[in-house]
Amino acid sequence: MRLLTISILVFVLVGSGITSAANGDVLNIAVPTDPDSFDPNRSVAAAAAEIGFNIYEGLVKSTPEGQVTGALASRWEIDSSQTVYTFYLREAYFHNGSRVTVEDVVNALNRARDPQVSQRAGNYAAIDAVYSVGDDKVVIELKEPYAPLLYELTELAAAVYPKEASDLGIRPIGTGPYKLEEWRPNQYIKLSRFDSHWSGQQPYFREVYFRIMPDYTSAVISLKTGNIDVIPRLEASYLHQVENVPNLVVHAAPMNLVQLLAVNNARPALQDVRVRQAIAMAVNRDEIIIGAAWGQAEKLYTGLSPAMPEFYNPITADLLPYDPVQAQALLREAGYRSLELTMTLPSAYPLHVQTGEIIADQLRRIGVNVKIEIVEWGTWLEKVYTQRDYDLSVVGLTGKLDPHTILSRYVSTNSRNFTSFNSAEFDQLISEGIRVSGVERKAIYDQAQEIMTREVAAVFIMDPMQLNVLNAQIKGWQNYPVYVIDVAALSR
Amino acid sequence: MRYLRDRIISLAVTLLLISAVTFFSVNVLPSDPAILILGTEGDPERLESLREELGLNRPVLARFASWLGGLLSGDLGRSIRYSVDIAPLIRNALPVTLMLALAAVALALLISIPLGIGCAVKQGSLFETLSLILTQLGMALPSFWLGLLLINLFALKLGLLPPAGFTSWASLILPAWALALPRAAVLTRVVRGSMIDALNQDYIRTARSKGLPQLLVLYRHGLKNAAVGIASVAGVQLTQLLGGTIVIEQVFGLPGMGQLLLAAALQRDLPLVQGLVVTSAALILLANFGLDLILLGFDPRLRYE
Repeated sequence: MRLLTISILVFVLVGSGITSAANGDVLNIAVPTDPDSFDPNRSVAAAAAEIGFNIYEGLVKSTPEGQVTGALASRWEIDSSQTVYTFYLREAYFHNGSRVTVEDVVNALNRARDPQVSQRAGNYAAIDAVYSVGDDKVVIELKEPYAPLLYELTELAAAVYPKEASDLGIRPIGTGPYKLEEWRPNQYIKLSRFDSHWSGQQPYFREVYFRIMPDYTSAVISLKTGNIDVIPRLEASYLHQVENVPNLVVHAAPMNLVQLLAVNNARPALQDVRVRQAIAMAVNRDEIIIGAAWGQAEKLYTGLSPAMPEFYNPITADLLPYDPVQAQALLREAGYRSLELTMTLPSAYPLHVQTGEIIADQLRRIGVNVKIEIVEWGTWLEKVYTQRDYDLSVVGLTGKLDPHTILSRYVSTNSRNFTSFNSAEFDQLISEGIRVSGVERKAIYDQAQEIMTREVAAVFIMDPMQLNVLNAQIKGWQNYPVYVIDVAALSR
Repeated sequence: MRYLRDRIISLAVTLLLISAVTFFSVNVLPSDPAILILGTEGDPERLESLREELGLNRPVLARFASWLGGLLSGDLGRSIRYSVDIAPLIRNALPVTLMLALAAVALALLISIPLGIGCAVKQGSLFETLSLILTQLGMALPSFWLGLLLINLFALKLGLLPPAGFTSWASLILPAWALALPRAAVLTRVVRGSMIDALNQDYIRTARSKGLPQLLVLYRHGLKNAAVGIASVAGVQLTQLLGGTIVIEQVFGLPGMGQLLLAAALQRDLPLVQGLVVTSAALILLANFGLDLILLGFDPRLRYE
């Protein structure tokens, strides 16, 4: 007994000397997973884009309002044919001290659009040529007008790095306000302030640690004790642990993520649009938002989120409203008294699993019996996403800045069209949408959204709020409509 | 000496077999790391060229041969997920798990030996009854729940220790306790049982009748003879921990081998999974070997069994 008491005392005394309150110059952010790679050509994981936003810059970057602003390009001109973009390069330096040259920019962009090198080359297929003019201009020539170009150039895949750089995956060299100091897999990613950023400004925090904490409970406790300063994207089920806590602040905003009930259009029973419409009309979004997202979400009815107010088409809400009676009628009209379907859900995302369970219940009420199968993420990607071997599923797709990049997925020939949606009219509209701009463009996407909702490319459910929880001392948090964390804007 | 040589040979053969079984079970099951790397945002057209790059299309036996060759020279290959060499990844994670397991068993012994001896000496007393109730409770409590309780009390309410993550060796204090308490409960009962047996032996009566002080009797004559039984159980607990800290590492955010294995398995990072399994197996085999040597030290008679 004495030994027990003594050992407790010893350990506690030793331990208490070592914990310290967070240093004012150091920021600690809790993230659930490591990034996949910091190489702009290889990385596809959102976690890398989130952190990479601070390390790399392209010709342009995104603003918190979802617009495009100059980064390495101070300004740009678009010619009258909408196919030649001229970017004026400003004076800027890489983290290794060398100056950014037009050759670096041309090299980075050519690699980004090379399908042998880049995992995201498809996004830049519209580019015909990239070349430099003089030592301060970079020209991008397109085959035809392509409205999303500027938005796509804000993505990590179009980041600029020195042309002789190698091993960017673990040793990224960019022009951003922070550079990568150290990456310990499964532990943390350490960034340190870059003092020669082209803007002449220095961010407040000297060092930033992105600490890998897969368990939200531990992360929340660490936030409360002050060991962690920020938890981005906290799960809604943990909200009650952090709201009304005096030293914590919750910044909530729509995620620009579209959660959908994926309906495999290629399955025999689901090929009939009436069956798909019946399923759509049996879904009660209010129940789902309360039951799965604790009320922290915004309803949506089509492939875009209301977080993109310039393009979201609110008429789609009236096309297939919640009406279980009508749903049953449609089902019977298609020749089914009842239907057996399997729903495959990804265990890594509790929000989608809970949504799926609620929908299964709602479908049972109209005579569709749903068997739920919960699989882990790797299996989901293989079975549902790649092999398209499923009936129903629930998943979320992250938002982008431009409607084309989001909606083109549902084009019948697109390799990412995992719901196998097939509408010639929709395909036509999407191919036209990139060629025009302004009001004409909006009208095209309005129509496209109506088609994808009415013909049930999927049943689109909600945009969950992103709940970013911060220590009350941290100022300057900006909510972006894309998956990034802007560390340079933060201060204490 | 012959004993040592035989054991080392059997160790090497076992390790070889484990490597083969690990490799084939991990690589023969249908799973595709390339699909995981591309996710829902990469171009599916890249799938085949990515598989080529990762060497996934080579025949299985060729891959096994090159992996085994690397293994024998200490090169565990490259992680698909993290794009770094695997050996340093494991080298960073190993000390965390090892220290955690050792600390947990050490704490468990520190608690259970005095407690168990006390029970054995004071049989039938209130002390023993209370201890038996406590140990029953201790055996029923799951480690992760204990862990959360400890975090809540010592980190959140009292602010004495770090709640999660690995910032210094102090981060291992709470998880070690969370693991130690249920094991201490089991060990206390083992100590009590072994001591009762030992204390009933004739040599104890002799020692007492010689007039030796109680403490000397208990520890020098009683405990030493009970040590074989206690060490066996403690050793088994250690080997279980070496393979099984995954849940506690998750709760406390510790970057040990358990966490790494979980992340690797979920990402289908096959080379990393293989490297981790073989390393854990090697650790467990070595721990068992060490345990056997210690037991031999306690009881030379075992050599001849």
